[in-house]
Amino acid sequence: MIRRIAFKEMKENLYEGRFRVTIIIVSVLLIMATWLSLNYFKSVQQQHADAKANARNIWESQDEKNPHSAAHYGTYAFKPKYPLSLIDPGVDKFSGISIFLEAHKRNEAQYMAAADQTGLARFGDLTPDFIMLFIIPLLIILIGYNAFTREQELGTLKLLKGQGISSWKLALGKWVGIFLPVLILTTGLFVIAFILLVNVEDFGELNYGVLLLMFVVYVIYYAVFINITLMVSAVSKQSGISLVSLLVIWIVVCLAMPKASSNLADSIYPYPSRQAFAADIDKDKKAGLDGHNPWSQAAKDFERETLEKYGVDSLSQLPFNFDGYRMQKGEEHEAQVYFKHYAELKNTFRNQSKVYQAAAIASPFLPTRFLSMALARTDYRAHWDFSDAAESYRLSLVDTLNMNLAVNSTYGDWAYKADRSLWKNVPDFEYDPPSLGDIIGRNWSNILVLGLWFLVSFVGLKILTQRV
Amino acid sequence: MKKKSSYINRYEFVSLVRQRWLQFLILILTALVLFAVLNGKQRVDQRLSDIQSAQETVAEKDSIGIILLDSIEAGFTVDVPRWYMPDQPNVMGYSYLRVAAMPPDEMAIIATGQSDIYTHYVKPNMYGESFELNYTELSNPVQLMFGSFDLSFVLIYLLPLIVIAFSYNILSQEREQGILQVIASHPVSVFRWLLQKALMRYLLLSGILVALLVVILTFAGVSLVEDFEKSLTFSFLTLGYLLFWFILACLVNLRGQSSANNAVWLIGWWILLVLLVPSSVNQMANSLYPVPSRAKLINELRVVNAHAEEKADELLEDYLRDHPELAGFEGGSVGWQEYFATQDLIKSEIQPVLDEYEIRLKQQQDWVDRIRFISPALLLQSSFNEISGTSTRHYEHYRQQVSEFSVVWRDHFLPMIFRGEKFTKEMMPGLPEFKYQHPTAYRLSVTNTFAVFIFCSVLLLLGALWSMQSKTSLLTH
Repeated sequence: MIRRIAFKEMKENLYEGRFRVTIIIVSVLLIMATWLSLNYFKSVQQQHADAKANARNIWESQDEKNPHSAAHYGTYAFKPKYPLSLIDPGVDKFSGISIFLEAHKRNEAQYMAAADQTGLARFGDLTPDFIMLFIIPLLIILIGYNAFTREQELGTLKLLKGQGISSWKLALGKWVGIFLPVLILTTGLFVIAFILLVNVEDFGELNYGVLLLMFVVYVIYYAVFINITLMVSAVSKQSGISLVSLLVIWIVVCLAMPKASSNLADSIYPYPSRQAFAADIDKDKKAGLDGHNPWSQAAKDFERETLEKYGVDSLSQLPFNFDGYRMQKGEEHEAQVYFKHYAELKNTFRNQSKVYQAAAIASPFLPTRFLSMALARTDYRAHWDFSDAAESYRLSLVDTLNMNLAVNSTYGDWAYKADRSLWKNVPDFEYDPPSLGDIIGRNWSNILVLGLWFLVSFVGLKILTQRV
Repeated sequence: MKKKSSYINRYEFVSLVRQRWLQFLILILTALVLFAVLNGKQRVDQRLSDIQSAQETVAEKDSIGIILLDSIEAGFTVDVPRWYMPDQPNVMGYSYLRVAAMPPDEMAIIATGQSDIYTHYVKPNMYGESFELNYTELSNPVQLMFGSFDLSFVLIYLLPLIVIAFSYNILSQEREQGILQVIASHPVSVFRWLLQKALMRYLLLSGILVALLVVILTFAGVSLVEDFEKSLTFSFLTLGYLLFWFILACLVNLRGQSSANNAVWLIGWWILLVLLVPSSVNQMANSLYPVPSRAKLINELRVVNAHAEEKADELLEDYLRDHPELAGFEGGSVGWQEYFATQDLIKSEIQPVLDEYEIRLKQQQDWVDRIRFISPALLLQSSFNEISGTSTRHYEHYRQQVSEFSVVWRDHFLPMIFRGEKFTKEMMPGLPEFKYQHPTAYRLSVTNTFAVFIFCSVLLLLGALWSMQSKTSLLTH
């Protein structure tokens, strides 16, 4: 029976011009979006590969110089672009693309793409995630808003009831009737994405499981929207009212809630301004050991401690160059300062995330949005991950260089120059993105909320359709 | 005739009150406008307090500097390392910085625009070049992606939807209830009757909206009379946009289809004009005028730097030839001259590469400006950002000013450094100060206002022509 209703529902839709037109428009949009994203993805990946090779080349071709000078000269870490960003570019446009790695300083990622675009960039881009997150739910509303109201308006509902069909079976039939076309569309998109990704040269470690999981997330999201649509259609008296109410829900869920929660998050847990953040770090840095300042109190204390520790009377008796050693200890102090301030910043970010998670209870869009970009590794967490990895690479790089100075030269010998082979021997920055297990572990709350939406909306559908 | 129309209006008004439409509109609009204005106010207040605390830090540092200078000039020894001594002009030029701030415009509350991406103050120093300053603000990129719930969002995105909900069935409902046939039997044209009905609703909605905006904005501390021209442009734009959606709703109703069908059509227009056109325009601007790779720039910068440092010696000769006034002073430092000569070379070599970015961005902006007439949403967005002083142009203008100021700042100290002169307490008040110049003329908004009303007139004309042809089909559908 359910199958028959679903079939009838689909056939009816297919005969309706509105359905055909919207399906065609959405498909065209999806193809356009995928094509545009693919081009963008390819060019960015090329730029990234070139820049990375170039940066390493520049680093390795340094002349003989003092290793600490090389640490000041520094190098760059470039954020990789992941294959699934083709489907969901997430916050990529709003986070920087590379981090300058140098002695004494943890730098922020710089050059966000949005800063090189006009104000229109804020309207969003025509990318597959935009279509999947915003437009397909609208499509669902357009297909299903009159699922029940139409039967009521035409009087066919009584006929159906007269045949002895239960409301729940009717609802399920209609559910399947809406779900199948959406499922076909979504599957089509993911299959196309899959084919494209396999053919993209150097597509990195594309985890097929991740792609599948992303597919499941979107399908659940659509199921929730179908439930909501059918519920509203079941309780509305007229098709028009049903449609308008559903549109209001769509706006609240997909547009208003994300914006409102981002304002709330910012007002409850504000980020410091860039300058204030830097000034606070500077203040803490000055309070401790500065590798370049042997005259400060902190440096004097450190000198005394070192002499005591090695049981010698003067710095030149130490088995290493004290300048290099102090430089390294200063670096460690600065690293701690950065660690502290970045931990605070991260904490603010975590708190802001909690606001979004709380808001997700009122909007199935939010958990889907976050899960989708987490799986694509284009969320803010992935950016943090990259930034932390770059920082630990920076520390080990500077440590290697400072210790080379300390071990290979004597105190007061500033003319020491390290061999060019040193630059080559320092390992290159390699970054492994978070694993699927990590991603799931960090997003359990989003998974839970989306699951809840799925269950609760189904229960709601059952209860509300009983009255039909 | 006049009597008849007033009768229609009264009937319309009473039925709106009965259907609770009026109450609903007042409630929802109050909530939306209030929330949006509060968000805008919070952002503006934050910006002001950031700038103020930066100014305070500078004032504090200055007063310490004055005390130090006092002691130094009086011949006392001070317990400060050489590189913190304010009597050294290079120390002043590096550590005793001025705040180059961009304070919010009077109406900045209206649109967040680009203000969440960019920072509102920097402190350029003598050594760094202005292009090295980072103008992007530290922020959670998720917030940038979702955007802000500001007044501009309410008016551009949500207001049309309220209009659609309010009038998608303005005619079709009457037909569905059989009232239209009754009206048509009277000597009044359906189009005219529809217009009156729509006008009534339009005036009602505009009245509520304007009253709310005036009250809430005034309450939030925005002086609407301060820059009356801007307030007026803002109101006209909003009312014109509102009118546009009302007329569109009437037109869709005139097609004579069912209420639900009307709603589908209207929502289709909304998606097209508010969501799809702007994002497509942005993407087209990016592909027409692509910005060169920033990743590539990073490496180019390094190569230029290394090249300039290698040539430092010969550079100095050229430099002193260009700046004979700076050469040959007793006590002056050759090291400094070499340094700044290198800096000049780096700047002159890297500037064309950097200009490329600004040029591309400007080309994108120009293109977007030209094509903005294809959607009223684009017209409103560009105007609101302009009125709020948060448009891409405003920030570009600000960067330009800072860049000029950083040259002034550096040039203030260079001669002193080269001549080996000391900085004294008397020189403190003479330090260059940055004063942000608001761009005087705003270029787009007046045209935009006209454009919105032209949109409306064209639609209205279409409607009039159409209704003449299809009166009968309206009734019988």
